Amino acid sequence: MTVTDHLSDETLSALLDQQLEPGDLRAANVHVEACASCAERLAELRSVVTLLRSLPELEPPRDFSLGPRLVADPPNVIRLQRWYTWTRAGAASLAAAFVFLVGGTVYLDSAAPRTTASGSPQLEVKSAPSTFSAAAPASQPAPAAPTIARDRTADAGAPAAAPAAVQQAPAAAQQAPAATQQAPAAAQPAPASAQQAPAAGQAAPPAAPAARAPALANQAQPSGATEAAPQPAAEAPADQIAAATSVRPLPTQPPTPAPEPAPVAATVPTNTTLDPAAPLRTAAVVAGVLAVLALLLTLIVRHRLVRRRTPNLILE
Amino acid sequence: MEPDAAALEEALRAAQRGDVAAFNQLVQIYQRQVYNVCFRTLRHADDAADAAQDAFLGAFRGLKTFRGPASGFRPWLLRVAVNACYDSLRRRQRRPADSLDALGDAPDELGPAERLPDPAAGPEARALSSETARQIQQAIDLLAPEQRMTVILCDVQGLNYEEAAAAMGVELGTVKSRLSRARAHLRQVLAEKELLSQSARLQQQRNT
Repeated sequence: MTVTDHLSDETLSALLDQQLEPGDLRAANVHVEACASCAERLAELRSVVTLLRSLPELEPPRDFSLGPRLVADPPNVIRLQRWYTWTRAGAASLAAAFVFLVGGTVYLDSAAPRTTASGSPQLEVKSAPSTFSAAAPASQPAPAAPTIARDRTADAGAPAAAPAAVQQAPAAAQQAPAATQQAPAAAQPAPASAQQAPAAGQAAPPAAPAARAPALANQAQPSGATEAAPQPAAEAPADQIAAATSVRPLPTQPPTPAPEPAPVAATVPTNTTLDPAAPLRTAAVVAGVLAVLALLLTLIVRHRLVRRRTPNLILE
Repeated sequence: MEPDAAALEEALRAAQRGDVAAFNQLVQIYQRQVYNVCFRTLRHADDAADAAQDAFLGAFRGLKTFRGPASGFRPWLLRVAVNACYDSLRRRQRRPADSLDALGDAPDELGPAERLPDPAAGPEARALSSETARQIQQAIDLLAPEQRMTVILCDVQGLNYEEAAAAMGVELGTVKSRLSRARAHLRQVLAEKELLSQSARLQQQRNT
């Protein structure tokens, strides 16, 4: 018999426990009869098992019966449970806050155009800067009329008036000389004129373009130069047609404001309503991130809780 | 300490309905074996008691998930105990100060229970000196956790392969191979300590 033919530990172990198949059992017995080495190993393994079996049984130090206190959750589970309750409540309230804040932001976004259209003063004042900036590029293509552009923004001062100026272009162009002089004066009472602007906007639609210009000029220039403005406007529409036509591209230059007053009012504020909604939006982002974190924490706590309560009990 | 099947079945079903008193009957039946498995695995009286208590608590809570005949309850319960032991070992790894090395060979480590002769144990148990028992236990401690658990369930506790497989949640073949490797390892260690000849004398004593 060669060494490789010796019985494996597994075979010897199974032989001890009478766990070999009949065929293997016979072969193993035959081998052990013939092989002193394997017979000795088998004897030693038997001794091992005997020793293990004869280890003293210990008396449990206490009774493990479950009392009412033990059936209740152990402290660590109670602590986990408390954590679970709090994190879950936190995640839920943060998620609710997130929803509310997003709702508020969306509401402000959708409500903003309506309020500007109806002439809400605060929104118009706020949107004024953007009308300035929108008007500014208009002065570039037509160097002949920078004064008009400036004048227009100065005396209009509000988006509602700005689109009106589109149709007033001929008149406005004629006002140019007067308006340029009035510009500094008009620039100072700008807040006042801005507040008057809604009134101008509302007054404008029914009026004819030509009539609108004086009205605007009147309101925009309470300094007393009012008479100067209407006069050129009324005087020389015909004279200035050439100038007006050359100017015409200018007011139509600002892309969105040009076509109609209403869309202008709608498009300009969408940019500007960022302002009132911005804090809400920031808060919504913060709440959203916190809600996600709280949710993660809740899931972790829940996972640990479940593992604590039911150890791996599934039997195959 | 196997109760008659009918009483076991009855207590088991009642316990599954949440009857703590019925479950405590089962505790009385199995706590000795559960505690011994835990102690042989953990080598620390307090840890073993905690693990045994955890096991019964976990078993009570998870009893609804137990399916099958009442004969399967003991392996199932031991499975819970085995997992409680592994949990305890994992916790111990996280606190190295309480590791097995720290337990060392301190004479008090076994507690009074092991040093007193156990009246319920068989004659060979009393024939084993506490010193021999300690050396055997040390040899067991050297085994890898899975092998240790297999040897404790099969050889110390006397479970058959099927029960041990169920208690450890492994295949029958895994039990066989783990057990054979553990025994081969123990054979070497105990032979070096010349305990095997002592065992042979023991067997001779019994035979004569």
